[in-house]
Amino acid sequence: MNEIRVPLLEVRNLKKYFNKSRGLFQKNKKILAAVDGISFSIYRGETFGLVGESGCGKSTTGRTIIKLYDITDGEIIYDGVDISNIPESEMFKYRRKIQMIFQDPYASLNSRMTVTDIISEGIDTHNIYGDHENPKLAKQERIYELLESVGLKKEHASRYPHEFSGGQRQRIGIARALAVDPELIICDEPISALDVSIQAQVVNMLEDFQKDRGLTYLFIAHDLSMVKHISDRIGVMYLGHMMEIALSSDLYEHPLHPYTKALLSSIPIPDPDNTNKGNRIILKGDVPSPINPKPGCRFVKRCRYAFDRIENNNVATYKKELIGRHVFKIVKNREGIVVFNQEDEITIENVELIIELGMKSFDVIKEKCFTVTPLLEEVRKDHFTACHYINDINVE
Amino acid sequence: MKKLLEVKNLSTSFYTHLGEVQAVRNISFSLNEGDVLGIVGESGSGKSVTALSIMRLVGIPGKIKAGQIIYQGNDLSMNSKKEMENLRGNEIAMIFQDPMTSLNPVFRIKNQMVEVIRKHSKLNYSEALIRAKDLLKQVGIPDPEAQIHDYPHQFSGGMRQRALIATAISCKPKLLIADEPTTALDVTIQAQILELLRELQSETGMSILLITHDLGVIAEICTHVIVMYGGKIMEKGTVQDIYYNPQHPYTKGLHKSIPKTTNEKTRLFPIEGSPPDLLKPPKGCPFSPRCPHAMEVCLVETSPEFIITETHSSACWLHDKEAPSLASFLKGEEVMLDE
Repeated sequence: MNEIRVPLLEVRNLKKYFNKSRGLFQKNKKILAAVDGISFSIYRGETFGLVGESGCGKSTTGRTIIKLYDITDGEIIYDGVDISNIPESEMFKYRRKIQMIFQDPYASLNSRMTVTDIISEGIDTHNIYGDHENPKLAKQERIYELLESVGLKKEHASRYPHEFSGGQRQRIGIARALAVDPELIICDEPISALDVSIQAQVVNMLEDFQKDRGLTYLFIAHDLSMVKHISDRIGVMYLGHMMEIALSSDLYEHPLHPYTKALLSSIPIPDPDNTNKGNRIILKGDVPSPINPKPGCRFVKRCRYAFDRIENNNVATYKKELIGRHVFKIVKNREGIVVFNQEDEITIENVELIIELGMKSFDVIKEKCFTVTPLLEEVRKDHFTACHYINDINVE
Repeated sequence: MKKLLEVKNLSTSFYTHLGEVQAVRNISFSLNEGDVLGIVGESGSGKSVTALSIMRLVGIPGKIKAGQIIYQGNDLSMNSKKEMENLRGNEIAMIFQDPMTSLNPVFRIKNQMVEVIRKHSKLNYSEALIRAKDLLKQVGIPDPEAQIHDYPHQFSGGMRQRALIATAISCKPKLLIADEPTTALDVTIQAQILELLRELQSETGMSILLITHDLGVIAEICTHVIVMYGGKIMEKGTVQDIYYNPQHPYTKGLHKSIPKTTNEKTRLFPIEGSPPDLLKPPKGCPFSPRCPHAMEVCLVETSPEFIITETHSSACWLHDKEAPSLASFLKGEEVMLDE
């Protein structure tokens, strides 16, 4: 593809913070940085997958794009227009172009509305058949057509959501999104609540609609194998930061970022004799808290490359090198009592404890990873990562 | 190989105001010592109810209608409440899907662990506490000395599941029933927990009955697999049988509906239709309404278990002598692929 592609949606340095402070004067300010400066583009007609563990901010990103949340900072450029700060009256026409499919088909449909009501809500709001000679009939036909296209029947139109199974409800949710002829659909974990055999039905249907109607998808999910199946390009998020963006095949074959490598290697493979049990990277620990994040790489706590090994050749230089650095992983003494926790600073007072341990070397966090937030940079064609030591890590 | 557990003709139903929900219908299987048996199925296939029935934990309005559960030669359905209580924890332990709801939020981790340990052993409080710390260390809690005093909300999802596993193995059970132990967890944490279960299994030699809907998880850890659908066993065999030589159309359909790990972009093959309503289960094979190969007999009569090899069996009429030959069955398969 040599032609210059124009993105349909461009997200620039998007931030969404939630204020978690308590009390009247908010003495202890607690800011939850759910999305902390991410940028990506989605081209017309493609599927962009967004993956990450729970709490990484992928759903918040989707909801912020459609402005269900107010934006803290950054720009959302839709088809050349910055929609991040436009008034609701102007936003209205974009709401028709950007639709959303939600995760939980039980919670996202109003149980007091019939299927017709649910689907026609968007059609009425945007007055789509307003200048039609018989708007009522046109709408009715449109609803039947939509129901049939998502694999339901005309008779279903007058029923209520509780009369349907999970897979059928998700189809209603999709019909609702399609009713206003959108260009971009944000699919927020659309298949996570469904059974395996039903997931494939819904995924195939989404692919068919994309082909027939030229839709663009932002596909948010945590099921990595399904995301790989449906997406053209994928962004990997961790704690509000974008770690890597690449073409889907490239990402799965040659992940560059240490987090992506670990994430991909932890997917259980449905092949008993060929699982990569041997070379699996098992991450230690859990995702840290996103409240009041410090600068530096978000992954530093769990990254297996982010340390410098300081050798004990000469006690004086050893001490000098250690002071001011931060402990890479928990250190216990011979009795099993924790002496240092992760990220503890080594000071003049506690450096003696390290000497007492009598180890030949001591691991401290790489200073750059700890203090400087890495930027997302293009390391190969169409392959972006945010890691300071990407070249050192990927030396074969 | 010694048989540890044998389930014979088990049927469990729930009597609701809408009628009888036949969650498990006449299933039989056995589990040998040291095996890791996976039960795979969709929601409502009866896999969790099977586990609860083994533990005799099916509550009202549920009831074990028929069948025997034979553990080390003894029929558990004959056991008194007291005997069952002794068995649970000491012999058979269970971990559940959601680690938050299985821990009591108002008690510290140490109290919850010590309670279990003391119930099943003669240790006093301080000995039990030491044992609890050892167990937490064994399951990879970074700082058990300090963290044992925490409340469950101070633990992350992965740590809670570790604490529950620690509690479950505290009395060295011979059988661990794990009901979707990783479903609520992220993939990186799931990998940690599966690794832990694998290690514990090889150290202690206990058997594991793992219930999941994820074919990937089964392939990671199990030696034998049971495929359930609509309250019945569709196919059982070793993990190699089920993954490399699946016989039942449902198992085949499941394999085809998950994305391939290879790189070529192919279309998925979903199983059309939706799972049966267990209030009125189909008269014949529960899968027949969705089965691409369904014959007349499938709709009216349940298929018996056809033995394929010593380890492998499948409940499908296609294996019957009178059924259309396997060649045409395979041909049908190709037609399906071409579409």
